[in-house]
Amino acid sequence: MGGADPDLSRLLNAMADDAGLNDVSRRRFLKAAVALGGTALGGSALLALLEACAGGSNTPAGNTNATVTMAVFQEPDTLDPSASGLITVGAISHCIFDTLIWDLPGHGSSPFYPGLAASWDVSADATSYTFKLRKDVKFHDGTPFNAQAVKFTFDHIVDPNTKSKSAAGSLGPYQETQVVDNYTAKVIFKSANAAFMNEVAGFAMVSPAAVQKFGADFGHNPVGTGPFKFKEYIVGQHVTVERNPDYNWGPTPLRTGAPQIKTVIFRILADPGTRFNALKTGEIQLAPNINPQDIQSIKSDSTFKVYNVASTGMPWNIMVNATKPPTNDPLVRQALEYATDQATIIKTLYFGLYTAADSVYTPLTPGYDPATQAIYKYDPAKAGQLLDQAGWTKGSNGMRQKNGQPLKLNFINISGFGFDGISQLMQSQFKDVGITVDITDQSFPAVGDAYNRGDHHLADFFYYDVDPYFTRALFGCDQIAHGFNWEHYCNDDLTAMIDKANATPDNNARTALYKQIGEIIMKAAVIIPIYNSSGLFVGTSSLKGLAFTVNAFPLFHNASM
Amino acid sequence: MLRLLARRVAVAAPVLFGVTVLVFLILHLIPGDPAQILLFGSRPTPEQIEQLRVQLGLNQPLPLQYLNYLGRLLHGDLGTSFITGRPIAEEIAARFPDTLQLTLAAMFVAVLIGVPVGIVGGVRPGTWGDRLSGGFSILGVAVPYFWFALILVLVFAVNLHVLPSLGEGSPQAIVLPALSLGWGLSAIIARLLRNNLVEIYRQPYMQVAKAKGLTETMVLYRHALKNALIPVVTILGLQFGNVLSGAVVVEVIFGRPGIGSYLVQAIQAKDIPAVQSVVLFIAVIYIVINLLVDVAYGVLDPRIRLAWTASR
Repeated sequence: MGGADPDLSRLLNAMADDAGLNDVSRRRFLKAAVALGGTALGGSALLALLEACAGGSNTPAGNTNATVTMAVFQEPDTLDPSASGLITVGAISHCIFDTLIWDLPGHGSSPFYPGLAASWDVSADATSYTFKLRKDVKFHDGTPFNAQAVKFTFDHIVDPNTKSKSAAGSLGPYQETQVVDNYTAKVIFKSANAAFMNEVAGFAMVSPAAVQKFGADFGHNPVGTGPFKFKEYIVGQHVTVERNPDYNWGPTPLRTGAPQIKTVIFRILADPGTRFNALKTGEIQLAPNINPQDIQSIKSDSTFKVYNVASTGMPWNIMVNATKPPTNDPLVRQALEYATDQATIIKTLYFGLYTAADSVYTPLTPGYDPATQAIYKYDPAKAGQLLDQAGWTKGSNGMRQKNGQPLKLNFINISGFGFDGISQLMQSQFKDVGITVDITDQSFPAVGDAYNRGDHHLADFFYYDVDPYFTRALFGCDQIAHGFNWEHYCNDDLTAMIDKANATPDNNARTALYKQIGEIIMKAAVIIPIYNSSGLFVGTSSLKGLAFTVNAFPLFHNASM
Repeated sequence: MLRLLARRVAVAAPVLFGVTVLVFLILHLIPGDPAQILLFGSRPTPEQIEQLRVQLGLNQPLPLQYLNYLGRLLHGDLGTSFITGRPIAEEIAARFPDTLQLTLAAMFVAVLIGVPVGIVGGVRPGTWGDRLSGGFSILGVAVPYFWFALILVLVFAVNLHVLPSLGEGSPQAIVLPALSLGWGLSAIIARLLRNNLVEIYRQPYMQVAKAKGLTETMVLYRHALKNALIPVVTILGLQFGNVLSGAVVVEVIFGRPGIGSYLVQAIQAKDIPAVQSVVLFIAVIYIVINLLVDVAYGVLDPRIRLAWTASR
């Protein structure tokens, strides 16, 4: 099966993470192959990047001895980026490690910038990628970065002993890396993997010498080529990194030389309230996942800066079971789309911090088409008409029925995953059009069994990824019952189209295919998009020059205090 | 004396046994296959799941699994974290000193506040000082410590900027966590001491002491406090476990490292072996401390020792 490899960790981690619960993996850079300028969003990620760009000279501006303390909301599992499954580690990794290519949309016509690779080339069948490497790069341990290190890194990711929780999934059908010469590496896949162009900016290059020296302890002694060197990791407390004075290979839109600030401390603070208080006292300068109501309280306070960083992937959405009656009827599913008032949900639960979603992709994701906005708009009257048409008529109590059977849906909600409020508001919105919704709460990950069996009509979902190929795991016919096709929706043409897209190396042609795929999914009404996920950070306004990757990891290359 | 010790240990043993059974069952109370749940997120193959089942001993009968678990515990093996892959004993050892420090600091604060407040109330019962002391005690017991902790942070860190909001990183950082955790205990101490003092001041020997012409201070220190403090010392020992478990929440609020914040992270990350081991660790400490207090009390006060031996 053509690489339709449901990446559990990606999903689960992502789910837990956005719920602010445990957090998991968003380690891949979210990629946006579509030039951002053309999309409607204009998110603050973009603004942040532009700002960083404007200030991106290589002369030190601020205090060159400055220390920035950033809160992270969980203990790292390991600081080996090839092994980790945690979002916290992604933020730290971007200090210690570099990637072959940078994905920084918004700076020009292409989002891709040279990193450790000066140039790259994709084969016509999207099965091999050749990288020409920079020749002047050294790891923090003094060993040279070369094609052997690239091969070592990818082999390390797929090595079962690494127990990779996220990177191996992103790597897809990896076969091998060939060392063409000292500074040319060719990465080969078993089958077409056009998604790799978007994924490659997420793989951190590790020092082979250090991995061999430390073995399993590499996770506590990470060595990369990045702008900051690892200094210490005190379990339960913090991870500290310090400026790499030799750094000279940074991304041109940000800063190529050594960073301006000397030290970054990642302080482990699990509680959102604690993080917010520490921001207010100035003990930390940057924090993720602050409660929306707290963000609301400092929105107009000039001491703080709120970063609402748009991200790629699948919006928070409700999956609709296309097999189980009555939602097996497309008219009923379409009625649910019209009956859902995203704007009210976002205003009520999140103080309007997020944007309403209308597609299977967030606007930053390649394949997003603003035309999908027009497919469904909140319209309870239209929902009622569709239900009438489907034979579900209103009874004396205002609730709908057909042949004496009430119109009743089973909403299986994952408790504590950030959908509790959403499910309740939807229950009341659906009641307004005469649909009864029973909400049952189940815990994660056991709920996966119920979703796979298809016990539900409505299910919670969202997904982080940098490439729209995630649709294969969520909508492929072979993913029903044991994958993530929890809509239980099978359309063979759609499955074939996704496979074709992933074998198309040309970005424009591929994006066009994913637009069609998105339209088919929305017309089938098997998901109800709710809101577009974004990374929420609050920083002190004294911290300047911060930039973010497309999947909302902060970059300190040009930060100053 | 040895008989006394043996008896107390014999009483503690079934409690310990019960705790290990409960902790052992945590893994089995989760709906679904534990191996599958533990591997969720790492894209396991059916072979890997089966391998983990064997590794966890899930293919054996439950009582045998429990015996194996006990055997590992007796060898000091608390298992391996599913998140970090490190031995949980190491993870706990790295964090426990911080928790112990907080617990001791909180008890120090409790004595520092509780004893003077109790004296103010006990020396002159019925006066405004006594009423203030009583009011303090009611507040201290009624106000939840986690709420009090948040108020302390808002007032002293966020608004007045006199103390840090985070409970680690500088010497004064311990003040607010210790105060919020020790406050409730200080109220208990104050009330207990006050009542003891009132009782003692009614004793004939106090009249004698006063009649000898001792100053009020001398009477208080030499005769009243000495006797009134014995139950306070006991309460301190008995409350040690409660303060320790309260540290779980206080550590999270103040972003302090320790086994409390470790437990919360382990729960959030579904690191079941870590949750089991931390719960077991806290329970064992609780039981051991209570045992020590019991025994120490018996050693210190012959009446207790006699009562125990006479009644059995």
